Amino acid sequence: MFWLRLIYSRLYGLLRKNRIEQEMDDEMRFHLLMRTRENIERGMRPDEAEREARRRFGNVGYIKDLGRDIKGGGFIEILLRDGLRQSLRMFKHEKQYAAACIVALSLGISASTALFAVVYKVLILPLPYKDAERLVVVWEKNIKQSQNRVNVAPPTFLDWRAQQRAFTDMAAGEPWLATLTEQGEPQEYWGLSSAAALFSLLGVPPLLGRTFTSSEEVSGKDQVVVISYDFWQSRLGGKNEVIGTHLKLDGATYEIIGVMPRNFQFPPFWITRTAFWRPLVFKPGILSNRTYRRPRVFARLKPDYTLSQAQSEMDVIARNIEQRFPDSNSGWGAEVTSFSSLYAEEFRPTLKILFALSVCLLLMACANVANLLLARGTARQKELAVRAALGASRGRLIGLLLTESLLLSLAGAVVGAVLAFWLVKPIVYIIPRANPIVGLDDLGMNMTALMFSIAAAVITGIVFGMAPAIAGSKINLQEILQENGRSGATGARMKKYRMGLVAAETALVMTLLSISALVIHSYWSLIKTDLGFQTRNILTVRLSLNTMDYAQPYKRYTFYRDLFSRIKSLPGAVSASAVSDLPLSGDWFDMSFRLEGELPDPTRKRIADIRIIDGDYFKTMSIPLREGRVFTPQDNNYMRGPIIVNEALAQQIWPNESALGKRLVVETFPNYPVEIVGVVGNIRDRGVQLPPRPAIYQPYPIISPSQMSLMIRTEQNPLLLARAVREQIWKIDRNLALQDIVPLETVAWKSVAQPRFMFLILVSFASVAVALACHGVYSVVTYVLTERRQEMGIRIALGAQRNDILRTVVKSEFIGVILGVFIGTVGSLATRNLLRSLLYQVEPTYPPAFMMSALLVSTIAILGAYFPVRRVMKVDPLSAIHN
Amino acid sequence: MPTPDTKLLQGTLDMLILKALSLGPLHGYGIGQRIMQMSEAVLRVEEGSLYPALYRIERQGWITAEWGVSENNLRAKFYKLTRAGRKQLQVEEENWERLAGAVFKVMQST
Repeated sequence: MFWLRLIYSRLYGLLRKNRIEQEMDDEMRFHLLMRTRENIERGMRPDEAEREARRRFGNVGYIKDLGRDIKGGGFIEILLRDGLRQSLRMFKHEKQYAAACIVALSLGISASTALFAVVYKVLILPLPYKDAERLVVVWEKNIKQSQNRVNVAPPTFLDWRAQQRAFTDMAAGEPWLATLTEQGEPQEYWGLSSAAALFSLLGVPPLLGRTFTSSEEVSGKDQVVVISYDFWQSRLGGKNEVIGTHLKLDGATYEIIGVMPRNFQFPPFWITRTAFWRPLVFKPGILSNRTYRRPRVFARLKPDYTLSQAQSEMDVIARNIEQRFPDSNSGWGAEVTSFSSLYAEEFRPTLKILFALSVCLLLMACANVANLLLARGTARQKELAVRAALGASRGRLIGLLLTESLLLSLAGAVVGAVLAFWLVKPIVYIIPRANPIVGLDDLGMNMTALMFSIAAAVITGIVFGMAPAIAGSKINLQEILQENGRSGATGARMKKYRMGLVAAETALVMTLLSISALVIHSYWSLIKTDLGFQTRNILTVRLSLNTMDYAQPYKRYTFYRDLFSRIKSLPGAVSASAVSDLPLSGDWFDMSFRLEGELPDPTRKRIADIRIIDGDYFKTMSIPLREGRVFTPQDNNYMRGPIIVNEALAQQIWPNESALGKRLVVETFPNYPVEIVGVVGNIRDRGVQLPPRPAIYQPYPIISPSQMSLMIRTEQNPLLLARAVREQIWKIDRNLALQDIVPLETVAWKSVAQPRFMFLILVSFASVAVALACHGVYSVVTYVLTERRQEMGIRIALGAQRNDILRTVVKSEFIGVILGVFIGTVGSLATRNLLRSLLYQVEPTYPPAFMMSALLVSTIAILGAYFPVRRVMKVDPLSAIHN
Repeated sequence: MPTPDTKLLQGTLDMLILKALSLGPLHGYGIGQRIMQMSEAVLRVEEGSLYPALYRIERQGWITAEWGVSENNLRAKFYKLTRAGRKQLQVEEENWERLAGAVFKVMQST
């Protein structure tokens, strides 16, 4: 009851603030008036009478202060009004101090908030499917060949589906790259050919129309598509009447039967940005081919099955199949992986590291603010003592100090949230190009992220404000007011707290610096890597000839002949060629091969990258020819053509003799050995960080993928030619989709986007951390010196040397620094497993990185201590003692 | 004014206020005056202690306040003893007598 009344009266006091204030004013004014009259009656002059009344009454404001405390509001009120007012007044006077705190905090809060927004989306928010945590991908795997997560051959999939009991259903899907024509400019879109069961599996109904049924999974009935919301909006204007209309895809007519809802995207990995879904129809030949491992299999776990139970059931089923079909399935098992572990898989380590480091930064900022609060606490001990002497209670002083730190951190949060808005976008670019993450394009600051920054601010405000506040409020009036300076706050506990702060701050900066050093080193190695080819002045165009017009290989061949001669006649073009996989784009393709006369050995396969090339590819790319010759137009006329290999392959197989004239059997033509006519230099075309592997080049029409990339060497800026090239292509065929016309340099630049942004973010994190550390050490030492100013003065007066002083002052600080370096080293070593995947040509334990960081940290500590100490040395000992 | 300030024992001010009010409602100024009269000008209540004490006692529920008109026709806030206040006064008077008697005895014995 008492509590209820108390709360009521406090809230009442808060709400009726003005009335209480008014009443107290009135009451006191009445009192003064009465006293004045009495004084006049005693014979004083009116002005004298009033002055005396006021003098006698004392400090009206102070009495009202007490009154307010008693009458209502209390703690809440102190925080909301007095603290606020006093803090604001303080900030006005101590602009530098307030700014230092706010800048430090906003840096920490912005970095961690921006990263939290991404973390929340990628690691916390469930995927937009019904009970997404029960969705899995089931793969084939071959342990002997160390092939994991392989897509599933259709007959194997059908066997699995018939035998399994762990899943409510299984559905297969295959990527489908479709060219849309007769809708403005021709354009390519990714689609998924999938089983009808997929949609019920995901538990997401269409927004409009319907999804396809199993009766449509038959050749002839399968020309229906469900379209994505984005495609519907961007290409079809978002009109409701699209259901029943038709699309021309790859030259065939498809009926639109449904539109999926806005946030639906499937798959969330592998092929992202899917625009269409159509029924998957296995061609009859494929249904018996157990090595055609192309479709990917999605499934939903039954409610009573765990992932490992499903895995063991699949193991049994796979072993069964292995025994029945040893030729094709010997060594092949099954593997079950959850959706959530696949989503944003490659990005996770980066994200985790960056988030952890941003939290380090936030903690550093907090430690700095705690330092500043502590230092200020000392500086204003007299002010606080006066407040206490005037009757401010301890709780009230704590409240005041806490309000200050809360206000500072909230201001930091506001600035930080604004900065975070700008920071989120670049962070999204860190995501590897080859594996975009669904749903991150429109990522921005959201409510949750804002809540995060506010929570971060409040927690830091309270936690880091508490210790200085308690210390600051623990006031021994006599000691302080007697002007002899050494105060109640200098207990052994405070000393430990301060040393802890130094250690924590050093540990954080050490962690940040050593990880940054590793990443910077790694990035340097990366950009210094010799690719083996020139990226300058090359224009690339992705082309796919997948319509019915190009069904026969010779038509594609003629197309390229025509195109190459057209391009070569363009002014500014040096040479033209085409390659099956655009270098550095993340696309690559490999196959097994064996030497002529060697028997196929499924346990020890020789694997080589396969590149299909046409035109002057080596000349265009400046890849050196080491031996033999390049392809000539005559090679294209052979049925199986000769091949060219790279040095890696030649040296792996024939280390001591020439590879020329040797013959290989490539999986593409299992029965016909092909002859090596040339050896070329190694190139890193799969990715800068991936070392060159054995590679085989084959001439175009012999294997003629419908998708190729045009590579054109130009005399100047390749983009100057882009328009002319596009015109020439459309002169041959107006229906070709030209997706990316970009210089190869851009492709290369994008291919290191992730390490580059990691590098840039860490460089900025590290600089901020260094700045915070300098500032932190500086303020701790300044604090200690202020506190011991008189002692220092006496020491100097008695002839102490600078070194002695330095040693006395910084001894405990240096213990903290050493402790911090040690903890920080351990801390960054703890992340080594996460870090390893992000580093190129450097181990996460690389000692120089740690030594450099430790050196830098110590330098910061020494310099940060040196300047304040030097300043004190210049102080006149007498004034220091007196003051 | 040459009167030496007689310091009040902690807690006695509350009792004096209650006692002053037991004779009838008064405003703050009047309370100070009445205590002075009753103590024959020995006890002078500081305004700085009087008002906080009033607010404190009011929140304890021993007195209530309402606005009225003073003897010289000014608007003033009058404090009145509540039933709980009367009881409290009794308790404090008994305590005080015991305490004063004890202190007196100590001072007499030497």
